[in-house]
This record gives sequence, structure tokens and C-alpha cells, in this order.
Amino acid sequence: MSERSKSPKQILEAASPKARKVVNEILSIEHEYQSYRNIGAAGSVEKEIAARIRQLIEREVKR
Amino acid sequence: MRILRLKLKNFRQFYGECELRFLSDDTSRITVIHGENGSGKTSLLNAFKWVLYGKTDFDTGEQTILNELALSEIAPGAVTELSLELEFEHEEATYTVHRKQEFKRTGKALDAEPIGKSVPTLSWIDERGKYETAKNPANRINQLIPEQMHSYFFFNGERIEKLANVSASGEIRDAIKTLMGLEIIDRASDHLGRLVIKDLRKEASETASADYRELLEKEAKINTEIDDLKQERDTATKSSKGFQTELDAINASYEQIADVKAKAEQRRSLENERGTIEGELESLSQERMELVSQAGALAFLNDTVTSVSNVLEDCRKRGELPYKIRRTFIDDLLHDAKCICGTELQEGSQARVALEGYRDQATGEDLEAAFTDVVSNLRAMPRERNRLYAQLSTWSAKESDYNKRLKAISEELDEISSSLGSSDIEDVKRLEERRNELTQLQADERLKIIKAKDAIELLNDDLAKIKKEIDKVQSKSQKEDLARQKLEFAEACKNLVDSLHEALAEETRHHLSSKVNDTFQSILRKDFYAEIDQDYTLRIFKDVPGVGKQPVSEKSTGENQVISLSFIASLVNLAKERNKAKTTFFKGGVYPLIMDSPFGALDREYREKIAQHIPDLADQVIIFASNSQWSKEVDDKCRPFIGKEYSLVYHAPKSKGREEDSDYVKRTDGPEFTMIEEGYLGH
Repeated sequence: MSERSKSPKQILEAASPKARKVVNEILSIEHEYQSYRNIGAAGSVEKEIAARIRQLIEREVKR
Repeated sequence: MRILRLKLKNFRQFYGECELRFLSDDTSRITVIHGENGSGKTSLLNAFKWVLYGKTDFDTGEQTILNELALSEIAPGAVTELSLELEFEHEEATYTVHRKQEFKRTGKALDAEPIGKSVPTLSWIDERGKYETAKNPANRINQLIPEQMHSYFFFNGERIEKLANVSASGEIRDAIKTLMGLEIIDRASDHLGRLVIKDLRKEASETASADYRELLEKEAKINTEIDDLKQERDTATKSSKGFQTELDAINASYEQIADVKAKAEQRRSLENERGTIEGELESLSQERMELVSQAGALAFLNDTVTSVSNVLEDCRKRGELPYKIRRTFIDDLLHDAKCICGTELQEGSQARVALEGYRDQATGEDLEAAFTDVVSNLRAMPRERNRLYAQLSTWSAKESDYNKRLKAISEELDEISSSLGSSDIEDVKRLEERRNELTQLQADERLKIIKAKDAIELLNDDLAKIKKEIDKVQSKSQKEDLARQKLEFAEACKNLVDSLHEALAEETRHHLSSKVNDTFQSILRKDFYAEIDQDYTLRIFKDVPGVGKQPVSEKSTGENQVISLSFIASLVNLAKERNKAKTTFFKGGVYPLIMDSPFGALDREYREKIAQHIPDLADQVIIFASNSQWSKEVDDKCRPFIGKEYSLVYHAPKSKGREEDSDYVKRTDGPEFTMIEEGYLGH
């Protein structure tokens, strides 16, 4: 079955628990910063978001 | 979200302070605002947009939003203000948005300039009665009712039919994304790719061995090229969409000019047909590619099939394949040490040696099965080849018919264009020149999109090869290993985010498509059905006996309005459903529908059918309608659900021959303005 025909649930189930966990946390961060999407401060906030995502990845790899 | 109150002060036609209150319980979910043309219905629709986002969207472009009568009352150089206040309920809290703008009169004429930018304030009382104010009101408002979605909840009925155009596919895709919270996933993918992975790749490259570094550099270079191409593609898509919007506007202008209306409609119908045929040709080409890749070899195997068949036939004739005696039969005789003729088959006996000789020649069951398969496949091959030729010929004939029709359409379109281009009406001539220019510009952008798409595909192939090579290169140090693991894990996360994004968008599209179809079929009198296709275009289909599903290329304005309205109603409905779902990120919402002239140019039957559906469209519906649109049949259907009704009384400047008053129009000596009266003044 191609990725195209898989449901979101199937895609999540097929992913590794590590990736699933980190992606969930990344989405939480993005959700937290959602209100900045249309404003001028978006640029500086982006770096903050990227740093937090990087930390998540590093934490998970070192485990 | 439930709108409770809108207060206006000196906004457009509305002089001084006016207030509208809205109801939205189960039996009074509709509010109707009646008014004649020019009385301020569209201004009221824009009042919602302005108070929330500080923007308006008038057909006639940017206009002054300050009331002229209020401006006339102040001296040149003096300052006056306009303000709007909107009160609404959302998730058990009551919000008040207030926005004001000061203006300075610049001269004796009624000209004014805004002083600074309008700033909103947002306060609310939560479910425990606690009063709060937003530090960043624009952000909070955007969270409550996303600006990208406002055109679906506050819409102009006379313009919604454009949703049914191919050019609106981007808007539909954006609506689905916003509604599902897919923007969050979009941004996660962007941040992972553009910032995090780029950074990690740099780090991995710095710690890497020469081979690995070289591969990573190549990978980074290709990724940059892909990003650049994607940007080029997106810019071209946006430009093309912009040109399409202008083309739609030109087409709409033509339809307002009586002398060329018929030609413009004919052109629109021809262009739709051309679009459908081009889609069919694309599908044919895809199907042909698939068939050729699966069975194309049959065309070149004729001699091989014959010679292999001959060889196998010779084997069969010689009794070698399948062999006259089965190996298992000989094995059984040898095991029992007795032949069927009764001869004993002792070890070393002549009879046993002779039988063992047969055993070596006898074929195994696997070989026999393979022989049978090959023979039967070889027999089927000429038949399959004929079928392949027949299918390709049918498609070629179809393609040739389509191409002939495309040529005819192209000639007809050229004729229409040249006839409009040489029109005596100056406006038409000018519009046609611009139209031709835009068509050319759009074609250039489309070419750029195709080129970028092809180049991205090629680069993706290169990228896949490099990734395979990277997998083969062994890391040489712990540091390098760690950097590599981080990069690979970040890439795995991005892949997961991207797959999730695609699957969620697809799931929503399917769901929405089926909802749109349900609403559409319950309104439309024809046996058509609606679909949001893979390109996010709203399409109408019909079943043709003996042919099957066929796209409907010639849609009337009414049909376009019905499908667009079905889409909006389904969107509001889905948002409401998503609001009930226990999801963290993909939360919908309960939104009202505020519709200016929802009946547009619909005929009586469609008006009645849509009116019948209006109470079900959303929990709260606010309708702006002129008397000609608010017919008896509409009134009959909506009346049981109407909670509040207002009439806009337009005070128009007196002019020669226009001095008489009516319920909805009063004559005045000063600048025009509108008063809001509660209730329905009737026809």
C-alpha cells in the first residue's frame, strides 16, 4: 500500500515510537506558537522554535 | 462562536451610533437584514471584517470608511472618529472587540485622511465571570476566527460562484488546511527542513570523513536546488492564480455588458470544455503509460513467442515435456521394488537399472507445472497482444477526437477573441487586450510550474541515489556517528510529518467532498453529483448511460452558486464536527454564517431550495437581502427560524425626478446615510 492511501492512524502506527513521540512534541511546540503565524515577530520566534525542535531530537538520539 | 451584537459609529453609510442585536437559539437562528441596493448591506458585511481584522473587501476597491455626514459636520483640519464594536460568545466566554479609527478632514471637500492605524482592543468575561483583556488582540482574534477562513463565514453571495472555478482550488486547499489545523503540520515540516535539518547537516558535515562529507555536501546542494525550484514553482503558482483572478474579473465584466454577454458566456463554456478535455487527455496519457509499462513488451515478442512455442511443442512431441511417466510413479515402483508387470526390482538388477534410467528422464512436478504455465501464457500472449493493440487504437481514436475538438474549440475561441478585440465598444476592446496579455502571462507561469516540477522530480531521483550511497559509507568516529544519527532521526521525523500532512489533507478532502455532494444533491434539481477532486477543484459530474461518470463542463451560474454554497455549508459543518472531536491540534470550531445576497442570481426554484436549507447551514445565520431576493417563497421557508429582523432605511440625496420617499428610501438634502430600524418593513 502506498503512503498516499494510508490513513493518518496507519501512518502513525507504522512509525517508530521514538519518531511518533518527537513528532507529537514538535506539533505541540508549533501549536503553542500558532498565534505568531501572521505577525512580524514570526522571524525571531522561528529560531526559538527551531532550537526547541533540535533539543528534542538531540535528547531522543542520546537516549 | 455566536455573534451577539454589532455597534457601529460613523461607519460608511451608518451615521452616528447604530446597534444590531442577534439571536441564535434553535428556533431563532436566523437574523435577516433587509435593504435596497446601496443601502449598506455590503458595508455591514465589511463591518465584521473591519472590526476583526482592520480590513475591508469592497468590490469597488479601497474606499473611505468614514461616514460622509459625520465628516461634513466638522471643520477642515478637525478630527472625528469612526468605531465598531462586536460582541460574541465563544466557548462559554463573552468577547468584545472594539476598533476605532480617527480621521482628519483635509479640506473643504469631503476628504479625510486616517490618523495612524486602527487598533483593536479585545476583552472577555470567562465562564467564572472573570474579566480579562488581550495583550495582543490581533493574535487572539486570529485564533478565535482565523483570518484565512473569514471569506467562508462572511461571504458575498453574488461572488461565491467563483469557488466553483478551477482557479479557486488554491483557496479550497487553504481552507481545508486551516480548518484541519494542517498549518501546524506545514510549519513543523518547514521548520524541520529549512532550519533544523539544514543545521544538523552542517554539523554532520563538519564532523564527517572525506567521503561522507562529500556526499553530504552533494545532498545539501541538491536540497538547496529543490528548495529554490519549489520557491520558483510556488511563485509561479501564485502569479498564475493572480492572473486567473484578474481573468475572472474581466470575464465577469463582460457578462455585465449586454452586447457581448452571449459571446463571453460561450467563451466560458468553451474554456470549461477545453479544461475538461485536457483533463481527459491527461488521464488517457496516464492510462496508456501504465498499460505500456505493464504489457508493452508484448508488441515486440511476436517472434520470440513463436520460437519458444515451437521449441516446447517439439519437446511435447518427443514426449520430453511433460514426460510420459511421472517421476513420483517411478519413485514409488523403486520404493516397492516391484514393477507393475510383476517384475522384482532388486538392487543392481537389470530391470531396476533400466527403470532408474527412466527416472532421470522423467520431469519433476515443478517443471511440469512451469511447463503448463508457460504454454498457457504463450497461448494467451497473441490474444493479449491483440487486446493491447485494440485498447491502444481505441485510445488513439479517442485522443484524435479530443484533439480535433480541441482544435475546433481553439478556433472558436480565436474567433471570439478577435471579434471582441475588434469591438466598437472601447471597454470591450481594452478588456480583450488585457485578457490576451493575461492569458499569455498565465501560460508562461504554467510552463514555469511544469519545468520546475520536472526538475524537482529529477533532483529527487538524484537525492535518492545519494541517500543510498550515504547508507553505505561507514562512520569513523563516535562524534561523527552521533551527528549522523541526529540528522537521520530529524529526517525520519520530517518524513513522518510530511506523510501525516498528506494523509490528513486527503482524509479531509474525502470527507468534505462527500458532505458537499450530500448538500448539493439535496438542492440541485438535476441528477448531478459533486466532488472535490485531487487538485482541490469543485467539480460537477453526471452519469451518462453506457458511458459512465462524465464531468459537466457547462454549468449555469445557478449551479455554480449551489455548489459553492454547498461547499461553504459543508465547511462550517465539518468545522463544527471537528470541534466536538477530542483532538489536540486539529480543532475546528462553531462558526456563524454571514451571507450578503446568498440568493444572488438564482431562479425561483433554487432560491426556495436554498432557503429551505439555510436554517441547517449553521447554528447562526445572518442574511443580508434586498427585497427582490427576499421573495415570498424564501420568507415562507425562513420565517419559522427568524429571531431578529432589521431594515436598512437609506437616506439618499435628492435629485431631479427622484424626490419621493418609500419605506426603504428617504430623500435628504445633505450627504447620504442609512438608519437601521428593527423589524421588516415588507415589500
